[in-house]
Amino acid sequence: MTDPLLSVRDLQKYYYEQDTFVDTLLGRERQSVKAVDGISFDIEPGETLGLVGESGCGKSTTGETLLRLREATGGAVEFDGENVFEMGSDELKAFRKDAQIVFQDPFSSLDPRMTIGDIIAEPLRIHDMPTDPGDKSKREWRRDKASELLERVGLSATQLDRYPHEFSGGQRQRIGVARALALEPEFIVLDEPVSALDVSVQAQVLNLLDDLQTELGLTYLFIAHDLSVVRHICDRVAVMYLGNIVELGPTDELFESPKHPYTEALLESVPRPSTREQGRRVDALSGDVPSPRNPPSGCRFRTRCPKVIPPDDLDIDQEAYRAVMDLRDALVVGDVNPDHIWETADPERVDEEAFIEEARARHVDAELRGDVASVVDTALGHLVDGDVEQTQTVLRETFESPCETRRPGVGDTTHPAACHLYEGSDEVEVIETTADAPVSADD
Amino acid sequence: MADPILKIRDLSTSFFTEEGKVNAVDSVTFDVEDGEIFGIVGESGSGKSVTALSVIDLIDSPGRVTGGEVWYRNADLAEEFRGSRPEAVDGDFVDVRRLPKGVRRSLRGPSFSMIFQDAMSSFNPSITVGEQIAEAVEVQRRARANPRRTRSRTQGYGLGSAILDTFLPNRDYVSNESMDRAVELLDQVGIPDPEDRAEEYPHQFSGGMLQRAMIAQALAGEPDILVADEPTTALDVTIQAQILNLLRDLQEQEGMSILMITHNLGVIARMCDRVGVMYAGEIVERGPLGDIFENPVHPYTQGLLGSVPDIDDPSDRLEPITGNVPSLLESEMPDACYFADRCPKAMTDCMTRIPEYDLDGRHSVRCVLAEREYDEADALEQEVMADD
Amino acid sequence: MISERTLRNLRRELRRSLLAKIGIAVVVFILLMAVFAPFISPYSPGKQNLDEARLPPLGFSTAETKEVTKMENGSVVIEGGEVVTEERTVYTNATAAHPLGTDGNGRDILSRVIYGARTSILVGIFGTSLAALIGVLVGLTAGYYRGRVDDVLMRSADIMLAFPSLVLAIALVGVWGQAQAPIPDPFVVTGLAPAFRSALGFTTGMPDTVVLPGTVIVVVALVNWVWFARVARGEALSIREEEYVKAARALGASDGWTVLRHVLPNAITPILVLATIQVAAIILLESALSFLGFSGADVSWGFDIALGRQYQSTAWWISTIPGLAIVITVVGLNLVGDWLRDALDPGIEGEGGV
Repeated sequence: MTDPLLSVRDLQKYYYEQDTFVDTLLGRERQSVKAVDGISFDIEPGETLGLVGESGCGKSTTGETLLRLREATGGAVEFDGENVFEMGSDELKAFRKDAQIVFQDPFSSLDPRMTIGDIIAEPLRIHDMPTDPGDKSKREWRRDKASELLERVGLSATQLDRYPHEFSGGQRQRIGVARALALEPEFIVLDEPVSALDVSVQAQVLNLLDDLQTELGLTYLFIAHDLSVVRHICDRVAVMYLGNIVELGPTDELFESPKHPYTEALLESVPRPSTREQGRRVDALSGDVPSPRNPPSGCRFRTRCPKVIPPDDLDIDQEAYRAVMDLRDALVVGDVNPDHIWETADPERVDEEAFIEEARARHVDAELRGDVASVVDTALGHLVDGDVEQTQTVLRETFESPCETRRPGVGDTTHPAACHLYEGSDEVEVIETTADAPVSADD
Repeated sequence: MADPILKIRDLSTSFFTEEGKVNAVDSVTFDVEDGEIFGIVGESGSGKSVTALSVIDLIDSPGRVTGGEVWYRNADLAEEFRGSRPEAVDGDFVDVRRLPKGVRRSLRGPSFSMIFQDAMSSFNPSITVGEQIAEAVEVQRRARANPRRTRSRTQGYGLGSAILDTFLPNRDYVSNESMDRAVELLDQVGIPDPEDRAEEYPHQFSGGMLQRAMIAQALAGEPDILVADEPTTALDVTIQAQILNLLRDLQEQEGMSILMITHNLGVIARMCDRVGVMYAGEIVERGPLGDIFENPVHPYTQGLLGSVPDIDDPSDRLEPITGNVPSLLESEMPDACYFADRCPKAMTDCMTRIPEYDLDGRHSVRCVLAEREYDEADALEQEVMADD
Repeated sequence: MISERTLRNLRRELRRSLLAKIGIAVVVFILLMAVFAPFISPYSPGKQNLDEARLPPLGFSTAETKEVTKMENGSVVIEGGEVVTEERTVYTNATAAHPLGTDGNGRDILSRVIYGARTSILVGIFGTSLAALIGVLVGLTAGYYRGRVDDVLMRSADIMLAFPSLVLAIALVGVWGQAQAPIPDPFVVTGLAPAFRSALGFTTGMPDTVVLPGTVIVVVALVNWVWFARVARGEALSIREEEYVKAARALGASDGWTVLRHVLPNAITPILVLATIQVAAIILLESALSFLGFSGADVSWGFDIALGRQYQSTAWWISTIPGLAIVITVVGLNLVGDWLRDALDPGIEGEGGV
């Protein structure tokens, strides 16, 4: 294998809230938002690596952080063997020539007060290029270069003096690509480049990106949430969930035999434009993505995972276990309110039993049997007095999953998955923690 | 087949802007059957959302529905207006557009209801979600008690009203029964702990939850027809799957019909029984899902399907439609098939307005290819379009 | 920098709004008056004539019967040990020579209003420019860098705001004294205005300098920059999130480049609107300072109001006319500000789509 063009190691980007001067004065503890929480991957020269995930998973932050458009809070990024985060301002400026970015929003990515020609020539002016314009003035040289680029991306050079608002979304996105190409970079981060476009225009831009890569030998990091697009354009794909990479592998392999339950669910959820899709009912993941302010301990995905692993000594079927885990999560986020349970409990028998029955009906979404049922009932019994904490403790003692105590990371193989299901293989590298260490106020 | 619940005939809507008249919806015709999901698919600017708004009479200035009929099957209304407005009645159907304004408004809720793409901006940020749903319930409750006279909070303008609202935020508008019903509705759309969530404000909801809450609000009037305008576009795929499941469940439980507007062909495929494909304000092709997806006749439908990358089969190259979506400015619309300038199969026959051809009673298309084969001898000399 | 579309919006709003037309007319009128003062002013603003003191404006002549001490040959007539009085009709006749009357020293009020406009406009424009320069610099820096820089800069701005501006201004003038820079009046020095005047038979002897009240300009700028800082910061905060700003940084642009080429041009609209309103605010502040005698200017609307105060009951016009001049100017500027705001509202820009 050749050396990777870009190598990301344990990249971490935390944002801090309540971090203003006033907050410090008031002694408020700052809160961390773990947008990107220690991810690693390589990109080989000439390949397209896809970074997919749902909104808020940290994929765009990753793209911007590795280009140092945002300062990382940890980790390292090596580009062509040089650590990007340690570059001085001259080196960084040189790096900018090699690594470019195309943004999602074709409306906000072009300065409305500049002409297309100026926008495309701006990178050249910033880098005071060309050094030797030959027999032309620098200005003419840049203008010619801008026309050339404009035609390269499929627009007409006669449009050089127009303003962005005169163009459609797809055309603007082409202009954004032309600007990124002006410095002849090796590597381009494509941050959702076609998400804002209509399908017919999207296809045009995808084809353009494909052609440019072939002709210019570009390397792409393609950030997207649309899995169909990723499948179409990427060589390898990394799937992100809540600041972590959960699976990484060659595109066809990952799409045809996904390993991580999240990847499976994601692929399952995508509506296909085909008649086979008609009336297909998807086993949708339940619930919402948890907040990155307070992510779940252990595996980030465990709160929604349909394959969450029960403790070894527990005999329970998957559906029942998921239901119990959902009850536990509901207790944590405060979705269980004893008062409401009392209100709707059987009015004929206002006693503990009726309460427990109603609590089960409301909050446990599966039939429980044997020991499991009695433990859950005992736990719910504590709710009668409103002792939520005791309920949680009882449930934790019996039902604590390995998924919540230890955090899985991607291993060092060609197709790793950060999931406890693969424990024992090289695909997963388990990080032993009992809980995520809280971020203290002074770091 | 039973009578449809809704028959749209030649509906046209224009916007009167400074640049000129924009024909956003141009003579659109389709039916929505009882208990079906009818999908309208198109790219941005195709007029699909304006069609939805026109159907439920929510077009605001500078726009205006300029023509056409919206026949809605409702025996009671038909009976009521048979004498006074015979032109608006046909059997069990009434033409909503020819009913008095007050009646039209009173149909919103119990007959038509709508959900939008952006749930966050559909809720008032300063009122709890439960109260806003209860308000919708209350409006319906009062309408039933005293039809034709509904009032909503928004009509309480003026200083006096503002002062009263400040000190008595609930001012007896939302009754306890309505609030209970709101909680029930929230429960029905799968919101956990609905009693507490009802007391929360929109910003405390996640995007998916808010979308559910909006659906709950739309269900308050137990509508016959739910118009869903890009209901999952702003959502992630896993949440989208939840919402689509929910909509299907509700549609089966309530037996309502859904008019589903989206740009996502996958969503159409999963949800809809029949589809209309819109381009430049017209429905260019419509029919049962299978016919449209398997045997599309219109080159635009073919191009649209060819543009979507297939997640299960990455073919090497996409076959996009060239060019851009046209402006709908009346002065710039050609007296020809609107798609001709982008069409790979444009022929000389296309240089006139194309009528809707009926293929087999279910599948219709606005394209000359319905009647003849493509013949290169007749191919339209395509100007090399400058990319503007 | 002003795009075609902006111009179109400006014109459209102007066509639509009567108030905008009035505002522009007023402001243009005042500006012309200030610029061409040496040509159109009937007299030098400083020319005194005690014989013609306190003449009323045209249309306000009074005739009043008064008991006055009888005088003969310049001495008081005494008869029988008593001062003899007589009844006389005292005419205070308005004269076309002084259409707006004269002040307590017999100076022509019209001339003083015309020349006073110069002071107000100079302070208004230079003060606003300086305030905008400081404020925009601080605001853009704070908004662009955010974090600690923002904290420090904007908290200091808040502290500035906490002081009553007039008190602060008085204190600053007190510390720095009244530095005034006499600038030669180009029209007078070149002989253009005197030639014009003598050709038309006007009085000559116009002052050959314009006094630029330096301290006042600095002081009003120091008091009012905060408003610019706040607006500029708000704009910078939102513009820095625009992808074209990110793109510029990704291209290797320095912060200075990014701010000057992308943030400032896109923030300029609200700053311009604010500046128009600020000219009015600063003119008011200058008048207040002059009224209180802190500006050192001796030809200023505020100063003239103060001069007329002692005659308020007998010669109201001495205070009222410069007061009206201030009101008209301030209202006119505000109307122009409203017009700019309505026409340039960024909400109108952006994509029209159906």
